[in-house]
Amino acid sequence: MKAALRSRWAQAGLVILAIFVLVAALAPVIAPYSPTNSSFSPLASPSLRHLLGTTQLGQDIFSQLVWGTRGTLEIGFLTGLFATALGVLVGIGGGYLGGPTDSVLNALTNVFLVIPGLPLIIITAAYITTKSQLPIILIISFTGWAWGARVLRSQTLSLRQREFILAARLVGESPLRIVVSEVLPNMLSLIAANFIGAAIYGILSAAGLQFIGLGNVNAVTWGTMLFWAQSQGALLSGAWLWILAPGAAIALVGTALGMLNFGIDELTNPRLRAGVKKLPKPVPAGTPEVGALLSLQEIEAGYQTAAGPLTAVRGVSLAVKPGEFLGIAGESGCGKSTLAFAALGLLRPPGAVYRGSSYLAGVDLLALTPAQRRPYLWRDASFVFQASMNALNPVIRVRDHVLDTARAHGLPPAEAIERATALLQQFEIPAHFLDAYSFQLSGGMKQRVVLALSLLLRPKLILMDEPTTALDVVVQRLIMQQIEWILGELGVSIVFITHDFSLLVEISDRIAIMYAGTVVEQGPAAEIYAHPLHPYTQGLIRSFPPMSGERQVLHGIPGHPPGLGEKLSGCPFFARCSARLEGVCDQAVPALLAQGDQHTVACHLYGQPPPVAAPTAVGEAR
Amino acid sequence: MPVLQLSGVNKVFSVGRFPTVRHLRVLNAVSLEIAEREVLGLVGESGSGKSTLAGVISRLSLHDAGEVRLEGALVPKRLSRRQELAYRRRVQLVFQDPYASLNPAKSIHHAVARPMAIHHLPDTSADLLESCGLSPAARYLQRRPFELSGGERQRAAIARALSVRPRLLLADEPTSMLDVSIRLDVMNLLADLREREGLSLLFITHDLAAARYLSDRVAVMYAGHLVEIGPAREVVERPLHPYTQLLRQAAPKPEQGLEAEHLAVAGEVPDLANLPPGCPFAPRCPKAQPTCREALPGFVQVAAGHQVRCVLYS
Ligand SMILES: Nc1ncnc2c1ncn2[C@@H]1O[C@H](COP(=O)(O)OP(=O)(O)OP(=O)(O)O)[C@@H](O)[C@H]1O
Ligand SMILES: Nc1ncnc2c1ncn2[C@@H]1O[C@H](COP(=O)(O)OP(=O)(O)OP(=O)(O)O)[C@@H](O)[C@H]1O
Ligand SMILES: [Mg+2]
Ligand SMILES: [Mg+2]
Repeated sequence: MKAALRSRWAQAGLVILAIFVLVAALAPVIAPYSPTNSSFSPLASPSLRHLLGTTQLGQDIFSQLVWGTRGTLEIGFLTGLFATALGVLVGIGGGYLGGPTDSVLNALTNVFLVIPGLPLIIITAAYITTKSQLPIILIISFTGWAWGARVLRSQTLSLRQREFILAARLVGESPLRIVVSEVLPNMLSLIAANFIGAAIYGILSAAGLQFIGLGNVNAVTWGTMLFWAQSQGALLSGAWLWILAPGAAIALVGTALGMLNFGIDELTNPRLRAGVKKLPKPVPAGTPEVGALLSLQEIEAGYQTAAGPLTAVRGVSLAVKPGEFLGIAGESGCGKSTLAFAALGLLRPPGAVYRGSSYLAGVDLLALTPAQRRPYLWRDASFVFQASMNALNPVIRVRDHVLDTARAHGLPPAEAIERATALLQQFEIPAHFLDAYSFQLSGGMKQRVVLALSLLLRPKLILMDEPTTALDVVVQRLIMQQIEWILGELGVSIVFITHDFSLLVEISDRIAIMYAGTVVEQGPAAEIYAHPLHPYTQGLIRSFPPMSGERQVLHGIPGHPPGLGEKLSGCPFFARCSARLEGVCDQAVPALLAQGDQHTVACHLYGQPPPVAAPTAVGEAR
Repeated sequence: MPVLQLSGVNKVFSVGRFPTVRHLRVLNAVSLEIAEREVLGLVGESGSGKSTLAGVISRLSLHDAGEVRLEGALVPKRLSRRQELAYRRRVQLVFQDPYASLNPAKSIHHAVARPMAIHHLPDTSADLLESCGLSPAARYLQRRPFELSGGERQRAAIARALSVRPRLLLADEPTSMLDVSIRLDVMNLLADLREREGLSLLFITHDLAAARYLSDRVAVMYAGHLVEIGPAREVVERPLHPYTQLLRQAAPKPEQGLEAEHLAVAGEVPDLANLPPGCPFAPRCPKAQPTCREALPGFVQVAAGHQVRCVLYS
C-alpha cells in the first residue's frame, strides 16, 4: 500500500481528493450562503458576490457546489464501503470455503453480474420516497458488488493453495482466522482498488439517478444540481455554469479516484510502471581475445529500479573458443542470466549494459543497433532462455515454431522442416511430434524441442541458461547427453549457465565461477575441480555430499551474498569467507590474476598484497 | 513402536470434467514405517507421489484406502476439532519453497508464535529461532519474510513446524530451492534436531546423495509405488531395483571424476491414469521379463531391512 501511494498517479489523485474532502468538511466555512437560500436575484451572472452565478430560483451556485461535495462524497464513500463489504464477504468467503458454499455464492455473483444494474436501480429507486440518501446508496451497492466479489474470489482461490495458507491449516488455525489474518492482509491493495472502483460507480450512478429525478431531489448533491439545472432550462437561459460546475466536479472526483486506482494497479502490475529512461550505448572496453569466438570484455550491467540503479554484473570478462564448452556456475541472483542477456545485447529495460563489449567473431554486438544486431542472432549465436521450455506458446504446433524461426531468418520452409525433423530424431522425439502442441509434450521433450529450435540455423555458439533446471535427474542426464552430442558432432561452442556446479565437471572444458556479479575463478574443469583456489569454489565443491565413502558431517558456506545495491569496498565474498584477511580483503577488490597456465582467480590469498600461505585444502571439515 | 505406520495407502485424484474424468492413481498400496528418532529418506522423480504422500500423512488431503497409524493408534478419517489439533501437534510439515510458505504480510514472530498460541503453549519463539540457527533471534522476530535470504526463510519455516514440538516432521524437499552453498547447513540443522529433540523425520528429496547424507533408511518411489526400501548406504551405493540403479546412474557424481555414465533407458514416466499392469517400471526397464508385465511383484527381503519389489530377486 505504501508503495502504491508513492506512484505519481496515486499522489496526484490523492491531492485532488484531499481538496474535495477538505471542501466537504469545511463547507459551512467556505460556502458564503446556505445552499437553499433562494433570496438572491435569479440567473445572475458570475460576479464577486456569486462566483458562479445563481440559479433560476435565486440560489448561489457556488454554495450549492460546495455543500453538494458533502452529499456526493458521502454517497461515494458509503457505496464503496457497502459494495466492498459485500464483495469481500461473498468473494473471499466463498473462495476460501470452497465446496457447496462457494458454488452457491458464485452462482449468486454471476446472477448479479448479468442483471442489468441501472434499470433495476431505476425501478427500485422510483418507489423510494424517504428523504434520506441511504436507500439509494444501498440499492447501488447491492447492484454493484458482484464484480468485486468475482475478482476477490479468484484471488482467494489462488491464495488458498499457496503454501503459507496450507501451513496455517497445518498448525491448526481455524478457517475464520485464516481468512482474516492470513488471506486478507495479502489482498489489501485489491480490496482498496475495489473500494475505489465501487465509490466511482456509486458517485456516477447516484448522479445519473438524481439527474433523471430519482431519489430525494431536495438533497443538495451534484446530481440534484444537474437535475434542477436540466429541468429548469439552465442552458436555454444561458446559465451554463449551473450545469458545467457540478458536471466538472463529478468528472474531477471520478478522475482522481481513477488515478488512485491506477497507482494501485501499477503496484500489482510492474509493467505499467512508466519512466524507464533509455540509456546510452555501453562504453566499449578492451579488444577481442585472440582465437576466441565470443569474447566478453569488462561487462557491467544492471537494472534501473525505484530504489536507484543496481549493478548485477560487475565487470566480467570471459572468452569462448570455437567448439569449446564453457560452464558458468553461480548461486541464484549472482547475475548469470543478466550476463547472458547482456552478452547478446538482449537486455531490455529496466535492464541495461553500462559498460563493456561483447565480441562475436570480432564484432562488438553491444556497439550495434538492434537492427544491425539481428542478423547475428540465431544465425551465429542462439540463446536458450532460462525456463524457455515453459515459454513455448501453447496454442502453436511445434511445426509452426520451426517455421516462425525459419521465416524470421530467411530459411526456406522445406529445408527448415527437414532440419527440424532430423534434429528431433537425433533427440529421440518421433517426427509426428512436429504436429503436437507444446502442452502435449513432457518437460523433457519441450526442452529438447527448444534445443532443436536453437540449432535450426546451425549457429556457431549456443548460450544455454539453466537448460536442465526443473527437470528430473534422469531427464536431465539424457539432455546432457544430447548436449554432448551437439558439442561433439556439430562442433558448436556452448556456454552453459547453471546454479548446479556438479553438472559441469563432467562435460565442461572450462568452468567459470561467478559470485555476486563477478567471476571469482576460472580455469580448465579438471583443474578447478581438483585444485580449486578461491575459498568460495572450495566451499562450493565441499557442499555436495558424495554418493560413496564413509558418511561424515560436511559444512556449507554460512551466510548469504551481499545485496546488489551494496557498494563493495573489498572482496564480495569477504563476509562469508573462512580464510579472509582482515584489513586486506575488506579494503581492496581483488583482481582476477593468473595462477599457472590457464587458471585465474580473484583472491587476495594469491594476489600481490599479502604474502601468506594458501588456505586449507579441499575436503577438510571446519 | 514406530511413530508412523502406513499400510496399503491409496490415493486417487480425479481430474477433468464429466465426460473426460481421469483418475490418477497417485499412491498405490504404500506401506512403510518410521521409527522413533529415525530419518527416512524418500526419493523419486517428479510426479512419483512424494508430496502427495506427505500430504496424506499431514492430513492436508485424505487417503482413499489403507491405514495410517500414529504411535500405534489408528487415525480415523474423520477427526473432531480436538483430535485434529492433537494430530497437528504431533505431525508437522516443512514445504519445499521457503518463498511461498511464509506469509509475506506477516512477521516471522507471527509465523512461529501463532502455532504456540493455538496450542496453548508458552511463547518460546526467541529460543526456537536461536535453536534453528537464526541468531540473535531479536534481529529476526519482527522482520517479514522478504527481508530474509532463502536459507534464513527455510530456517524460519522449520522453526514454525517445530513450534508445536511435533514427534514427526515431514520435510518435503526442504533444500531443493536453496542454493547449493546453504543446503548442507539446513540438512545439518535437521540432523541436529533429530539428535536434540528426538524427532522422527521423513526427508523427501529427489537427490540420492542428499538422502544418503541425512537418512538412516531410504525408500524409493516410482509412479506411486514403493519399489525399494532399505538402509541408506546400501540403497544408494548398491541399489537393487533397476529404477534405483537408473537414478544412481543419472545423478551427477562430481567426486567420481570426469567420465559420465551413459544412460541406456528410453521412455518416460507412465501416465498415472493409465498405469501398465504389472510392474510400473517394466516398460522402461532394461532387464524386464515377460512376467514383469503380468502382475505387480511383491516385496522381496534381500537383506536385513532391505526390501525390493522386483522379480529379479525372487
Ligand atoms: N528486472 C529486474 N529489475 C531489478 N532487478 C533485477 C531484475 N532482473 C533481475 N534483477 C536482479 O539482478 C540480480 C541478478 O539476476 P539474474 O537473473 O541475472 O540472476 P541469476 O544468476 O540468473 O539467478 P538465477 O539462478 O536465480 O536465475 C538479482 O539479484 C535480481 O534480483
Ligand atoms: N490436487 C491434485 N489434483 C490432481 N492431481 C494431483 C494433485 N496433486 C498432485 N497431483 C498429481 O499427482 C501426481 C504426483 O504428484 P506429487 O506432487 O505427489 O509428486 P512429487 O513426487 O511430489 O513430485 P515433485 O518431485 O515434482 O514434487 C502428479 O502427477 C500430480 O499431477
Ligand atoms: Mg538466471
Ligand atoms: Mg513434490
